[in-house]
Amino acid sequence: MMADLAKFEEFASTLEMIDDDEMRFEYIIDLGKRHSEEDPLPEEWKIDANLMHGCMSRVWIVDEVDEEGRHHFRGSSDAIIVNGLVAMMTEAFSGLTGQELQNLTIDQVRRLNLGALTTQRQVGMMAMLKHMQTLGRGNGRAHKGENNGASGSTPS
Amino acid sequence: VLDYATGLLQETGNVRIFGTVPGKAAIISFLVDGIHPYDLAAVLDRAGVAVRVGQHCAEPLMMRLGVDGTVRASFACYSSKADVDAFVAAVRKATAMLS
Repeated sequence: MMADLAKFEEFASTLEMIDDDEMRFEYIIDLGKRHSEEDPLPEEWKIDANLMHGCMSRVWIVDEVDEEGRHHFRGSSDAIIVNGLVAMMTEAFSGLTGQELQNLTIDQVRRLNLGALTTQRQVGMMAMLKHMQTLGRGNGRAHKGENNGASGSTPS
Repeated sequence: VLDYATGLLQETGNVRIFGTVPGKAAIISFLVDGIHPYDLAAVLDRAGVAVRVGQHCAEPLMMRLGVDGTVRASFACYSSKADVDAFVAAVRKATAMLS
């Protein structure tokens, strides 16, 4: 069965329809704001175990797998622009199987920014894809605070 | 130019300037309340204003100040009041876009 990339196509075609880099940039900012309001990541999920390392701003991505083996991502960043990118990436590539995630390419991610971003942020999106593919190879057991070392409990 | 920029930034409200000691170098490290420094710097960059952003190789100080980083504008002998006006206008535009 083909991967369902309807949400990805929706984002990509919206960005392609906007014919100005400045407007695309503002679209990403608006996505970031909306994502914070409509699908905020619970504070207890913003823990080190869910942090994506190597980002200048903090990015948390949580992966949950349903009974069909499809990965559903949720994420957040403390910076609005990156939050917009997290919103696109997590929504565009949720609902895929682990294998479908591995088949995603950098060219697909390129369609999600189209020059509106600096090279540094484009590299960040590639890193986000790699991170989600790594999560996609796992069982998706989300870290929701219970394994947080900051809780004070020690393994026996 | 530093005094002019400092005054204008302070007038914009919700700007927090780090370091106001008399005779300091011609730099302004600052944050706008509620806006991540990387977001602010990205919008300034697109407006043609070059600033430095991040921890400026001073992570312990940033931890002490309780901030993730700051935006830092630097002025030199060739910086003019018109440059400052463009910089402050860009900060205001960024604040409006990101709030």
